[in-house]
Amino acid sequence: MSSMKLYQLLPFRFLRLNDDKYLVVNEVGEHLFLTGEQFSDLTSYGLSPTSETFLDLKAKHFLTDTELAPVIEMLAVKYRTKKAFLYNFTSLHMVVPTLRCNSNCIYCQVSKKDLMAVGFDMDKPTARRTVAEVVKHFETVPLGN
Amino acid sequence: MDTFFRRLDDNTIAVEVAENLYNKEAIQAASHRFKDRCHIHLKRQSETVVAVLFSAKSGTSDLEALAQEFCTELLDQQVRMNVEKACGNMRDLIVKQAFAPVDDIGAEIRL
Repeated sequence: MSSMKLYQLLPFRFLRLNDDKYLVVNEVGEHLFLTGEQFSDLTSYGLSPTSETFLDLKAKHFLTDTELAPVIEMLAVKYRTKKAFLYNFTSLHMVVPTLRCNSNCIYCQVSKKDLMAVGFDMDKPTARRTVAEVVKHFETVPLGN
Repeated sequence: MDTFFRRLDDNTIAVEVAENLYNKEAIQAASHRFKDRCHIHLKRQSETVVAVLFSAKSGTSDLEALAQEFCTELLDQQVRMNVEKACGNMRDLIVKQAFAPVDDIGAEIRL
């Protein structure tokens, strides 16, 4: 950290809502609304460490005046918690037993075939294994996840 | 009072931007935000100055107001870049530490 700066900015994104209102957000889902002056002070390192704005921004991890490594560790934990859903297997299963269809739905994700077409049905062993896999998933993942 | 733009003709005004104050990426990003409201053209004025030309589309009411808004947007874009630069690789490190933690995260910080 430069000796001229009283604090270090932490990664954030912002949006100017109007001439005097900024929304700042960060990777762990925290947000604050700042006036234009507060925002300018933040980004030009002009905030007083005793000001309420500084303390709010520090509490929500938009800046820090302490050692960086522990702050990054903590943000990483929050980030991991926020993205924990990535560890879960999908909770939506779509099974397409056949491509033959008499409808023409615009949202359909498959390339439909004629009703009389041959070779576009899932065979029985594959269908049985598919159902078994879906059931196995719901036995291991609690409802609601 | 100094003006921040030059009127080239009835339909076009130019804002001159000093590249020692604003990055090329910030100028482009700010310009992009106005593409649906007027025609935008970037033109090198000199080694250090880029001219951003605003031409009215049908329905564009006030080019000067747009140019003024552009200057504010340009400043925002530059501040975005400054914040990213000031944070070095911290954004990447937070994600890395979340999913593939390293023993000494401090040694990986690059500001």
